[in-house]
Amino acid sequence: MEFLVWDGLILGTRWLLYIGAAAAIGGASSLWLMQHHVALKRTLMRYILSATLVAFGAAIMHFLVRVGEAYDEGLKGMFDPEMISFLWESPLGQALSLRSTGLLVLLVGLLFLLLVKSSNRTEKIELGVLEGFLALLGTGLIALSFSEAGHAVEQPLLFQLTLAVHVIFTAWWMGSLYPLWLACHRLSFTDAHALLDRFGQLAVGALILLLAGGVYMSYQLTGWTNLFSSDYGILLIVKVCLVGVILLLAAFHKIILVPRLQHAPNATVLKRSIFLEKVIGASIFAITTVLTTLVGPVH
Amino acid sequence: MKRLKSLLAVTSIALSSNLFAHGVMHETFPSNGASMTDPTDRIELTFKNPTKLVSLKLVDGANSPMPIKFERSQEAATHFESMFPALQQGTYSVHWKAMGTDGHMMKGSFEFEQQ
Repeated sequence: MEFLVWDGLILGTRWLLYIGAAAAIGGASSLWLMQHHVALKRTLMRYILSATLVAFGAAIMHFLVRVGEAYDEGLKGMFDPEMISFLWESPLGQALSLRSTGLLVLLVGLLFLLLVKSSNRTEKIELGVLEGFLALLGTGLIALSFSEAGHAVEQPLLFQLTLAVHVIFTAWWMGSLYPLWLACHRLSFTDAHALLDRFGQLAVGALILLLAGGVYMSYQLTGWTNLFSSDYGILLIVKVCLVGVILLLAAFHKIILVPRLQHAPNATVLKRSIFLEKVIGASIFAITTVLTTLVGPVH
Repeated sequence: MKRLKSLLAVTSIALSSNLFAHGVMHETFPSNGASMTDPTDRIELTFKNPTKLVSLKLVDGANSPMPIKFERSQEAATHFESMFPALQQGTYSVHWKAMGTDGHMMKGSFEFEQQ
């Protein structure tokens, strides 16, 4: 039973980390995409700020849960100094330090924008080189942290870079869903249409990279053998099926619902559908937590 | 919640069976299920790949921990040995936990009998 509790905590904190990091990265890029819309500014900043804090807390909790699991003497084992320092020097500690540095850099960029440059709530967001640089640096560090521990460690550099790109574009897509929903909710249909249309154009390139990366990484890890006879393989297939569903939904948005905004001004169906996309995205994240932490590829 | 629990249960079973399938452990002394006629005064673990041994516990048939010498080390190795005073007659279990070079935690246990 205790084993189940630790596994549950490991998966839960990692899931929160994925969601928080995606919202922080996707939120930051939405701030750029939606910089002309003052009506979204405050909510977007609050979204990024809370996402960064959730990701930060989840990253630390995930590490402490790993400590507790290793110590194996109940929940108090999470705070054993000797085990903390042992794990801090392991790949788990390196991943934590890299991703918390990335989140801090992102936070500094956001606070600079919020408190120094753009403190007037009625002004539109003026994104400068410094905030842009900090956001990109933070995003890069967070993405690279996922190659510090886990199955990517023993893979070639190309794999690690592919994983980082995969993480960035997944985060961008999933983290943009709430801002896009917000745009449908608050902006005029013409403005919302323009934004969603632009996002749809950018998403095509991102999706090609995501799929190509996914194909390459799954081949590197499994050689596409034992897919139906191993737990890793079966979970991977479930993940691919859900990715298929979310792609169909995204195509439905791009081809049918978004163009419809122009002619029939009613965003209710699109808003509901974006919410569904978020739920499927969260399930894909949940399966990925099991794939990356609990089960391993079998060659 | 019930469904989540059963999913976790399935995953955990999958994980433990995976560990055996992976075969991270090359051999142990005493070997699993061994019946020792000579007094046992040490445990040896030999892994297939370099690992960091995180914990090593020896318990008797009543599940009480036996005093053994074990110091956690940051050095990854394939072979670990722990000495202790010769055991009394009875059944014993060894529980180990180790971390692979990628940070994944592995665990396992084996039993032996001291005659």
